Amino acid sequence: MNAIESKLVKVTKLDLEAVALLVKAGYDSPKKLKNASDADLMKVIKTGEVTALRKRVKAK
Amino acid sequence: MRQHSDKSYIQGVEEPWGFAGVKRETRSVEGDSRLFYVDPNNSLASDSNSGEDPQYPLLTVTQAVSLCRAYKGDTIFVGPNDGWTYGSGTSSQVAEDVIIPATKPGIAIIGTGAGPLGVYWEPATALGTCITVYAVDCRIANIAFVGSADGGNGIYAEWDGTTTFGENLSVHNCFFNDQIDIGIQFEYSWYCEVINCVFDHCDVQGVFVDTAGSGAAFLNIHGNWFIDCAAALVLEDTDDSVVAGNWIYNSAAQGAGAATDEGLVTTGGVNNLVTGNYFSCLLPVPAAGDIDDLCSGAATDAWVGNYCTNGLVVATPT
Repeated sequence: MNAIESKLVKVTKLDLEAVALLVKAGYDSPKKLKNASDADLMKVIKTGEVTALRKRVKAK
Repeated sequence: MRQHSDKSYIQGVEEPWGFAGVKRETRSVEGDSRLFYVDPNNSLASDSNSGEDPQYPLLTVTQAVSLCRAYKGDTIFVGPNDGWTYGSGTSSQVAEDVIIPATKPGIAIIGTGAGPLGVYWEPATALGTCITVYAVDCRIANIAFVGSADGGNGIYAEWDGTTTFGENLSVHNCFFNDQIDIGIQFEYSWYCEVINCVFDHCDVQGVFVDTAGSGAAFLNIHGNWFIDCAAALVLEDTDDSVVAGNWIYNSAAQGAGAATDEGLVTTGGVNNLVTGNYFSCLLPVPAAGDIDDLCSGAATDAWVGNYCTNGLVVATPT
């Protein structure tokens, strides 16, 4: 787990596997996650994980 | 230059080159750490100098930063000037936009002015930022950030984990005046501390975390004085932080006028501890200028033992 993944795990409360997928897809900061649509994120992680993510990182 | 053969404290007051006003604790150094001196008002100043002899200081802080090494205890002492608004103006304030790059972690920039405000420093460019921190574990102290006629910002710290690592930043005893737009901004920076600083009528925010960015966390903002800033502490999207023992004066709120979110805002964040702060407003009325108007907290915050002009706040402001 690198520093970017470590911070995102702490911020999002998602597991490392989901965070690693997000980072690999280019969503490597809360700012980028905020600016992504739910539909875009669902292409990378599970629907339930997007729902959980939104409790921590609000969409713009 | 004297060689320091052990890891003891430099005997600050005994050193012949010591600037007045340098606190003793800032002289604690590693055995091979280097002390750089910057004084643009010294006629012998040049960026061709080594910077380690205060009789021949460097001209710019930028050059001093470039000479610093990572994690060697290297410290930059910035010489005093009387560029204060109400000073005689016989010397000029520092005018630089300095970047501490990610390759320079663990360095310190210390102003050596003997007065309470520190060394006067304005941005070099219109709307510029005096110090941008991309390195981890840095320290800034005793600097008076005074905006240019066009405004500008004091300190910006950013972490993105790939090219910028500006966190664990310590800001002590600094001053931000009424020509500064944003005093200090944190972007995805964690474990930073802001202690014993004065934010005097900052035009936009005293301390700012942009909700459009990636937030901040684990900040320690303690013992600062906010005087009528357009907004004192806008810490939206800030988590797990302590905001304690600050004094926040807002003249609109004090006069029962509208001051919506001009005090302390932590909405969008979680689990902040806000304690022992003093606000120039009334307890919830509700009315313009009361604590609910001046401040907004997050649902999971703990606001404990904060005071208004007429008593103790017992709930998180909404």
